[in-house]
Amino acid sequence: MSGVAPATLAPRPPIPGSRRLQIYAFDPSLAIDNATAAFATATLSVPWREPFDAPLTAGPVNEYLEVVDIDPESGKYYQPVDLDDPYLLATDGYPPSESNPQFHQQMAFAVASYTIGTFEKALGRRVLWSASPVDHSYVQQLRIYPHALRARNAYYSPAKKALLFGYYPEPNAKDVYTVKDMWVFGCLSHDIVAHETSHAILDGINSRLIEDFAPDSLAFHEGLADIVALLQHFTFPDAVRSEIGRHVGTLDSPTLLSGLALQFGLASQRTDGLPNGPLRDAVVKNRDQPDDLANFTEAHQRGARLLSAVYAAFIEIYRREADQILQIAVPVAPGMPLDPRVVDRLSNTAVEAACHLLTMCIRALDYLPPSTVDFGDYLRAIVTADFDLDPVDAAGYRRAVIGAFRRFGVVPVDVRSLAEDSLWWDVSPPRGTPGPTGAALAPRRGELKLDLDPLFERRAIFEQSKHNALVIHQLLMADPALCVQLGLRMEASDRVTGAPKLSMSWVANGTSPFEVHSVRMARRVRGDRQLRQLFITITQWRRGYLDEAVQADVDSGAIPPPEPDFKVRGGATLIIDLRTYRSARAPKYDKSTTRRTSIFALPRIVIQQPADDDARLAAMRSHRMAVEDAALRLAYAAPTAAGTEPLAVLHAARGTAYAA
Amino acid sequence: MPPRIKIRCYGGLLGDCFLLRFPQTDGSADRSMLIDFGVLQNFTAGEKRLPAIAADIHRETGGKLDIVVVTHRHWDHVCGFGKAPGYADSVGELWMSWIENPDDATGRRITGNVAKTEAKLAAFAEQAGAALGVGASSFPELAEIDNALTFTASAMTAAPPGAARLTTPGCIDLVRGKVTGASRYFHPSDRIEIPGSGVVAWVLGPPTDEKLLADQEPSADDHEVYKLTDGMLGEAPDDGVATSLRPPFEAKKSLDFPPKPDQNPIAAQWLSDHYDHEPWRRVDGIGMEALALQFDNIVNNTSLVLAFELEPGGDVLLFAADAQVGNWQSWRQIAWPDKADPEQRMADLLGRVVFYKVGHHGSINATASAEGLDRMTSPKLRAFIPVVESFARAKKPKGWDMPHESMRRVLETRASGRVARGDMVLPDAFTTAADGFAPPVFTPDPADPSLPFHIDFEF
Repeated sequence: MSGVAPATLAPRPPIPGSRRLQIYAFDPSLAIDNATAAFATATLSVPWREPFDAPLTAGPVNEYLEVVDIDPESGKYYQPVDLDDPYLLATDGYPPSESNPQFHQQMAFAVASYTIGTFEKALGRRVLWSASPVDHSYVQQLRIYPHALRARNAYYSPAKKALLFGYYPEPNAKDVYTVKDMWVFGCLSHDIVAHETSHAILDGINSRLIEDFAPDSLAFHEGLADIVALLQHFTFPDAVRSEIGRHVGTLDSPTLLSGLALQFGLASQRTDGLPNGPLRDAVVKNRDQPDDLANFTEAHQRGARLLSAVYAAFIEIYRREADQILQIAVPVAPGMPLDPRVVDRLSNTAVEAACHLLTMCIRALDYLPPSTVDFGDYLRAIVTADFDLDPVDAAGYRRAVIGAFRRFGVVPVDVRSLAEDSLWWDVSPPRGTPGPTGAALAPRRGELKLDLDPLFERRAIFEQSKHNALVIHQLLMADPALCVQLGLRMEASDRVTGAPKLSMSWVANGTSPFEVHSVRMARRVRGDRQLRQLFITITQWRRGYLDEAVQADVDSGAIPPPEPDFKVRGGATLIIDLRTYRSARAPKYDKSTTRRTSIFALPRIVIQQPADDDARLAAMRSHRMAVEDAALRLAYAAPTAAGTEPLAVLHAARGTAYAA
Repeated sequence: MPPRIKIRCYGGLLGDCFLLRFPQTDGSADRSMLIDFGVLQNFTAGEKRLPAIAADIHRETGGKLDIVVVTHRHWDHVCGFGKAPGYADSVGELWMSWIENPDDATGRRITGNVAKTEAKLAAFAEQAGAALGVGASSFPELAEIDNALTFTASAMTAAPPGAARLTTPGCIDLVRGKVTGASRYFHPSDRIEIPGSGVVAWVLGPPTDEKLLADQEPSADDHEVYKLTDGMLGEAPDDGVATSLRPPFEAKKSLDFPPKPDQNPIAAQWLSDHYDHEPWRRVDGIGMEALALQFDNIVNNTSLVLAFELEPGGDVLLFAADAQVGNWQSWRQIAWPDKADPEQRMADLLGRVVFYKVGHHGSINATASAEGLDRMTSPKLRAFIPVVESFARAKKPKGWDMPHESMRRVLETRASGRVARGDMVLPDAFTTAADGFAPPVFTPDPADPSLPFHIDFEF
């Protein structure tokens, strides 16, 4: 709908803010049941487009996404839907249908777009995909293949920058929700699309988090993707209202909302002896078992604990508000339905709590260590990120999260208590004395300068971020003392090895003791508080060996290092408060004394993760061995993340249980 | 005590070739047996060794081999029979697995489907490679297909123009041409006496259960989604895709992929703008890649597995060819004619293994652990890995993990360091071993003394 408006009697209407598209709120299984049909579908509002963004064309293809609907294993191709067709604009797109491939394209597009919107609102910046694996260049669109696989699997492929959804004929009619010989499509499950989109977004934020080098790396990826899929359920008012009415105000017991990937869960033959149910349910039956996280080793299972902890926090927040509403409402006799007005209030409360909690969970992603996250790190990240924006926590969100994580045994190992202030990441004192640093940081003529202008076009943001990574790398290389202060290892030993390729290939000798993995700027608002922040991820790595003797020999330099068995990554995450930054180009009316400040002199948080931490190396080694042992039960099979598709292997490893 | 069996392992091959001799109790000439004769495709240095090896075999046996064992249809096990036919003038008996028996309907179906799948993969590889104008490295799925086809030598690397193309089945036919006696096809539970030697060969694989051939866990869901194995093993239609894979939508709602530009110019243009221009993001090789993996697994699992027992209750020598997990697992289910508990028999045989021919060049999935190596508890265990690691690791685009490190480490421990390889001199552990066997004899390659021409074991 572009081009010059024709001369008409009335002025042209303003550009709409959003486009409405119909989807299955859960998946097609609910639409065939009268009890659930009323809220089985939903209509999502996805952003129309920013003026500087690529227009929407058939596919759908837009600024962020490119839906390509080929089905190679069937030798078929399904023509791309044109959502700008006037008839589709009038009807909020195609109505939900399993047998219409164009609806499949529409739904995958709508849910992925909605998920992107969720992340952008929380992060305070635009979503970028990780760089091309071919040449590290900008990748504008995430590819979506709604029918890529004939398999009970769906995954995000970092190597293809694509979401691959599978489908399969359901041969077992064991439940009212699944009918014999029905096709089950991954791209028609809100949870699966939201889950895979989250994987792609997280990879765009920090591509180091996807490596399977530590016990919780992949589990964290899975858990976070599930959290997004789950909490997004609670932003569909019709479904929330219906469930709250059905359960007389409580959400404690398993509900349709708390289960993930219902149809796929029912359709899979469970191998764990549990009765058929959703693929994963956030409500855990025995809720108070703080120690048993150690009993779970598989990434989805561990991720499910994280999901359960977040869901428990949600329930606590909701219940506190709900109890008050129920106290002032006219009591109803047991078994009688609640007054619809009360249900409305409760639903609003649930939606608000879910949005808030989801925002907290996403914002924390910028507060993670540079690599190998464990769940305790994530708790610290949630608490610190939320504190930065809302020091008071009047609504008690942080207390609820800390309490729930404690109940599920998801706690950091390195803090003395679970009081909020012990969980904060250290706020490092700003580097006050100019000294050699100041000199190095004041750019001379012809030198590269940091570009901290707020930009809106995604490609420009990507290029700006790359530019800033180069500048920060230069600044740090000129000031080794600062690097050491930040926790980087700079000694010229073989213990810490630079990453020679990546974005730092311009370095004269081709190697560098560290890489500036990413530089991201964000503007975050809550209430009357506003932050402008710069997030810098610096990584370096050390060769890790399964054989401790080899490790000792390499570390001491006794032998030339053989190909490492795994990489121990480390480095630092810097979170810099940009509100007091004045660039050299500050306008004349700005008489601030801090012009030309070095960004390293600003208030900041430094999250250190030393690359030569022997304890972490030992933990990674035993994790590697455990992964191999599990695979070794049958044969000396490959460690799970050996290939280029870590998530595909992970999702396929469970065999019959669909891994969303 | 004179040896009951002598084994010559030819080195430098990244392929299998073993000359076994069984001394006769009456003092007559040793009975000879050649197990496989091949080298990996495109491994030129290894290929150059074939004539010298053939000459050595001919010299040792006087040109008359009593038995040739062809374990399975992979190039690195059979190409020598075609490329260096001077290894023998005549062959007494040819031993193969039941799957190669032309009179076995199941075997015929499997070999037929395997051939069809191979043709399908080769056609895809050729078409995709040509359409993209790219090599395997920029289209990762092609690499897997290329790997599978390398083992069958039907790959994109065609024969030089004009030359008659040597194929894997063709090499087997060339052996058949030399056979003067019987071609024998064995099932698990067969027990073959090697005449005049007192040695008995127990046949352990390949399994007759097709699920195990496909490396599927026997307990796995019957409706495992990749029905492609059905296409490979079952009563498949011509296209190798099982009937359960109907299209998911009505025909009128879809077009054929890839679209033909003359019939569907708009679709073809749209795909060329949004799909074809970035080969690295293509997905049309993923199903083919899965098929290639299954194809490779299944052919490996058709390996004829022989355990030579030197005397009743005595030492055992295990030649597992390239058997993978499904084949190893099947041994514990064999219905022995004497009603022996198969679990116990397997444990008993493995517990007595004193020589293990390591499967598939020491790759990660051809040596079972819990049901294999972990049960080889004899303190006299020795092993030979037919590998050239430097060539395997240099494979493009992704090196082959041969021998796999953690498997190798376990093997080293179990065998107290007595692990010989096709690409190295003998470790010292052999010379100091007090296991009652003579140390193996290392005969260096005339051109490169760091490589074995052959290594001779006696048991």
